[in-house]
Amino acid sequence: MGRKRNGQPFLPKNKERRDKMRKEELIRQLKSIKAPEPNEKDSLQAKERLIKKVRTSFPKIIQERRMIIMKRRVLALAVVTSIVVVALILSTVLPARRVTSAKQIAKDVIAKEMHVTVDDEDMIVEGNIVIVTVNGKEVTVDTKEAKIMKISMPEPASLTEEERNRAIEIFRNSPEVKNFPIPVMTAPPENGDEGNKNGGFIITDEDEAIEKEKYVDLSNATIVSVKGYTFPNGKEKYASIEVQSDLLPKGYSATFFVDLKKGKIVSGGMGPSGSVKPGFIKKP
Amino acid sequence: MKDMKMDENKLIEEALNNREAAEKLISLHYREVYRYIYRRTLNKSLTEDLTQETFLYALEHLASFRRKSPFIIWVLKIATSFINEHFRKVRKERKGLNSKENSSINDPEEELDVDAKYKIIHKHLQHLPLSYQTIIILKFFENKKTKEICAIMGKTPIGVRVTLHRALKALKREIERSVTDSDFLRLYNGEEKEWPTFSPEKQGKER
Repeated sequence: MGRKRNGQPFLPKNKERRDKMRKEELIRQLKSIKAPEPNEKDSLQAKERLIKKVRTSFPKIIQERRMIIMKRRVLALAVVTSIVVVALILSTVLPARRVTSAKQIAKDVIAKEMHVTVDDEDMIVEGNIVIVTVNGKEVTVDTKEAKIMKISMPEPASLTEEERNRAIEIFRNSPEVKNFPIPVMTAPPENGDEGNKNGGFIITDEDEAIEKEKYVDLSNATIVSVKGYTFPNGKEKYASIEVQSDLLPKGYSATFFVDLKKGKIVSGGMGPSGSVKPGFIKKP
Repeated sequence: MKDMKMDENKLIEEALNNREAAEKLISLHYREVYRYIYRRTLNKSLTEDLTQETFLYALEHLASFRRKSPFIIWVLKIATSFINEHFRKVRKERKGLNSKENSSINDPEEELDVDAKYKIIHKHLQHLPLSYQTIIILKFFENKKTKEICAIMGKTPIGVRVTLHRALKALKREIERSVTDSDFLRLYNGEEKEWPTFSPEKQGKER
């Protein structure tokens, strides 16, 4: 409770009312004050001096005005130009940056989930979706959610004679084919047949198997089949070439997946004849 | 009224390239601009300088006058910015000199003809923000309408009302700050009906 005045407590409401009254009082008093009038003679003399100045400097004033107009035009033009330039830069840089960042996200997602590194040039960017062929499979990555949306297997497609010949030519000249790694392993006992042979393929010790890897040239191997493939989203065609050679273990064949557009082998692998599917083969 | 406006527009058009028309335009509005600047500064020579600067600037920028408001309002707007710029400069200079003296930012040189109450108010106004000074002078001493104040200060009607309310509050506070403690207490308790600072004698005694 505030101080008492005339037996009335000093409440905030009273203060508000008093403030309002004081404001009104101030307004009333301000209105009652006579505003000063400048000396007529002084004002006339000052006006004369100004008119005299205008008389002498009027051409200069006009020139100054023209300069101002010109400056304004130049400034307006500069502003418009800079806006256009900035808009142009943004329209070119931002989408490129967005594509780059989308590719990077896709790259990270694939590396994390599939343990494979993919090249930027192999990726197709469609908004937030990145499509890339990894190990003979088409992987669709949602960059917004940072996850793999779907993995599509290759679908059979017909090859023209020209495509077929080109696939064979790519196969024959590929360094991956000329230096194809095959593991040298201990053959398991099979129907009483024991011993070390290049036909038995049960890996007993993976590290040991890798240590004993050797490279063979399969460029002159016998081509068993050439099949065409394509992916649901991609337009490029791929060819799967299955070959057999004496250099390979008995009953085994090697399959290579050829990218006809890029003119290179994208993956290859070895397995029992007829069982190696392009989607499951390992990159050499 | 309409004819007058048409005449003025014609005069402005002519003043762009005709010296005599420019002189006529100056003669028409000189007195009002001079009076406004004088009421803001209470300094004869400063008033003359600022009025001259205002009209020369107006003539140089006449091509950019859009005719949205009367010519005099546009000139008063220019004058206001020149006055405020001058006061800002003076305040900055005083700040730079580390002047502890809480004196007014303007030194009225000619006070003889000025009403004592006005001088007191003017002195208090010097301690307020420039927009508050402008709005109080325009509203109570230039008797400008809200619409005209809006055009001069570049504010909306609501903005003008708010600024005016704040300006009055600040002026009231400034007056209260300057009165002695006993005066203030009497005023606070409602024993004093009159504002002590409005009395020039009392003001003189205090200082």
